[in-house]
Amino acid sequence: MMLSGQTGKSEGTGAILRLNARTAGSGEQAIMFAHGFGCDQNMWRYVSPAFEDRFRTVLFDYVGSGGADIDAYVIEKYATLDGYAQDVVDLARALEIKDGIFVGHSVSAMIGLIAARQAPELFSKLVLVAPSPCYIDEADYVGGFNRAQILELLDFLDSNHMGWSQAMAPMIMANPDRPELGEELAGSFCRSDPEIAKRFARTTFLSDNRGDLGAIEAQVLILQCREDLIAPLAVGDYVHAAIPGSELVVMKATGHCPNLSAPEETIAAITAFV
Amino acid sequence: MPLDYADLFETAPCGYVLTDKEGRITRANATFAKWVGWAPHELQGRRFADLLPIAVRIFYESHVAPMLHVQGSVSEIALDVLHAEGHKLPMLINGAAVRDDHGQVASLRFAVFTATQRRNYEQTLLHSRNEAQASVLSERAESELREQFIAVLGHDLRNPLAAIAGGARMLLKEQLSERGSMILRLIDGSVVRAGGLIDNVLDFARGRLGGGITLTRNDQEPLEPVLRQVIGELRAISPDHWIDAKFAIDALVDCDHVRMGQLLSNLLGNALTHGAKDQSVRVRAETTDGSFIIAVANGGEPIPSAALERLFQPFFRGGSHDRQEGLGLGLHIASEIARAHGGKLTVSSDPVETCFTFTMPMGGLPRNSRGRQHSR
Amino acid sequence: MPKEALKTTVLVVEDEILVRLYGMDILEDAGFSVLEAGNADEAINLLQEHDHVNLLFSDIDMPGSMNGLELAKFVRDRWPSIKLLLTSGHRHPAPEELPDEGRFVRKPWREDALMEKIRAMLA
Repeated sequence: MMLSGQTGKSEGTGAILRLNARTAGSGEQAIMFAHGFGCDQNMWRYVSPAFEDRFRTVLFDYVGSGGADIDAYVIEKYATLDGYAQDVVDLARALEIKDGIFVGHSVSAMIGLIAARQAPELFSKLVLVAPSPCYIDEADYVGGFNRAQILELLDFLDSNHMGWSQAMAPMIMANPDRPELGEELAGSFCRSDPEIAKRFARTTFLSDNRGDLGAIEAQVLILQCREDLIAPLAVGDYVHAAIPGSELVVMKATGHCPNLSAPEETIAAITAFV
Repeated sequence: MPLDYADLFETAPCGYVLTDKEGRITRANATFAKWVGWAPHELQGRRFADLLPIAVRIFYESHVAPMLHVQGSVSEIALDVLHAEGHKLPMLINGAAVRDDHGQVASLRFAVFTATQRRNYEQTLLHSRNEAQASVLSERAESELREQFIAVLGHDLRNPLAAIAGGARMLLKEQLSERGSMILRLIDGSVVRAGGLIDNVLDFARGRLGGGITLTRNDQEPLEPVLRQVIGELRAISPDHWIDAKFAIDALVDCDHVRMGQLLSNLLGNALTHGAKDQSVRVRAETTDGSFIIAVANGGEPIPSAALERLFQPFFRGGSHDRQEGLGLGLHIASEIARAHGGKLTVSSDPVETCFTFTMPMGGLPRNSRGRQHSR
Repeated sequence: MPKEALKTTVLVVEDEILVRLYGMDILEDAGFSVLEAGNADEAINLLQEHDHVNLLFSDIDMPGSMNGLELAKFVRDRWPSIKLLLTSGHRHPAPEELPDEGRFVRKPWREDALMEKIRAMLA
């Protein structure tokens, strides 16, 4: 395994702990799964195991989500996606990933692009699942929403955090089809500090990251859902056009989280690419 | 009697919505349909998410739907649902995923409750809370500003005060009538009192703005002359009052001399103001049994026990006297000085005498006291 | 001129006029010869003109290019034989802030205590 980056040892373990990173599987290449807004690494639970026999899989939570270190949240750092991208770079370096694969859902797709530009040696392939570089319509660009709607979302988060910050009661999940997963406590999925969730929403939905598209060394696959409110088809087309050499696959799955609602299709699409 | 399940479903006191795994409504009960202003058959085939305003829809797609897939259920989700006429209905939903034999999600079930009252209540609470928080913040800012102002004012007052004192003392050396000299001595006394007030105010402001009482310790020079000088100053201001002072300080006391003087001055000033005029004020300063003690006693009306508890609080004034009470900081500052030295200030009061006693251990100052050794 | 040179000379530096006059008064009554300045710059000019100053008695907080502490350090560098006595009603500098053998007296002054200190320094 080749060394990469110049991260100090303590800074490295810092990132692993800070981001609640879990590794599994084995293989020469690493594949890192990044969750999107509103979730945590559990959203990959139906997808990542399929890659454990061939790859070293990496799952993590962004600061402010899931089991990541909430004390590491710094308003200034995470006011833009660059802060999140820095964490990705730190983590990849800590795990000594080189020429790995990055799979990013929703806002993570953009975070991955930023990280890959910052440190091209980390990832040779990028999978963007339901990506969007900008959610607000502007001039000819169709993001899917107007500013008023996004602001209403932020207001809604403001007045409704009591609705979603309560820890969801842990559910024992039996999965007869996958007995090896056994019975597990689903845990506090999607629980996040309401203040941080608001800021993450702000960062995600108000930022315009179209500038981060463009030519990039890594190979790029875009997975677009057939009917996705948050990342509509027009956006997928836009991203595809903006990244020369990228591949676009429109899935049969609908909704915004194909990794949850259509895991088999998602696994197949990613497998074909890697 | 067998239950009429169909009726239970349709006319339940809550809404029921069943969808396929992609979220399209397969069945909605009459209650829900009535609430949202659509006929049940109009709801069939529409996506549940389409009934939500855009902002809520994003929340649903990014949080609720994933949760249903991973966790299998959600509860107490607050959503707004759009009525057919376009207005929003605050609602609470519980949801559950139904899995098929392979463990895949086959359909979703939602129980829906109207929550207008609850939402209004929550909004009111939130609003009040935000207002209260804002009010606390602004009050805190104002009070800090006030205290800074006090500090600056006290600071700036010292200069002209020192000038007046200097001027008065110079005039005293001039050829003056007896009356003239007496007046100047009175001026001097007033300056001393004013200086004491400013010291107290500044100490208080400093304490409130963080910092506490700082000490410059001195265990190289005797304390007695400092204390004697304080007594002398106060004697000059209250010539009609008899002050009886006894000293038995047998060792060098490791303390801040200026602060000790201030403590004595505050206690003595207090005794002179409130004590019986026809009785002496007794001052005792001694080292004994490993402690250093300053005690100031006066005769007169005892302090009511209710007041005794609050004596050392800032701005506390007896209230039983209608004369000039001062700011009510003297005893508070004195007790803070006592504390800074690792000692304490206590009071006892009965019809015979009222006595304030400062005690501090002689064995050096506590490690956490703020101070520097004034070494020579 | 020669007569003045024999008397011990103190330079009083203080920006508050009445206080300066008062300090000079105390010193003159005690038999000293006194020079006065309202700030550090004036004090330095005087020291350059008069070479027989024995003691610098200066307030700490003064307007101008230097405060009393800085003035004391300056004087210690240029004229090491001049004794340094600083005073203030606001601050109480720590021993390490004063130049070597520099002393401090707190305002308000007690005349006898002040003179005792000065005499001890000049002894």
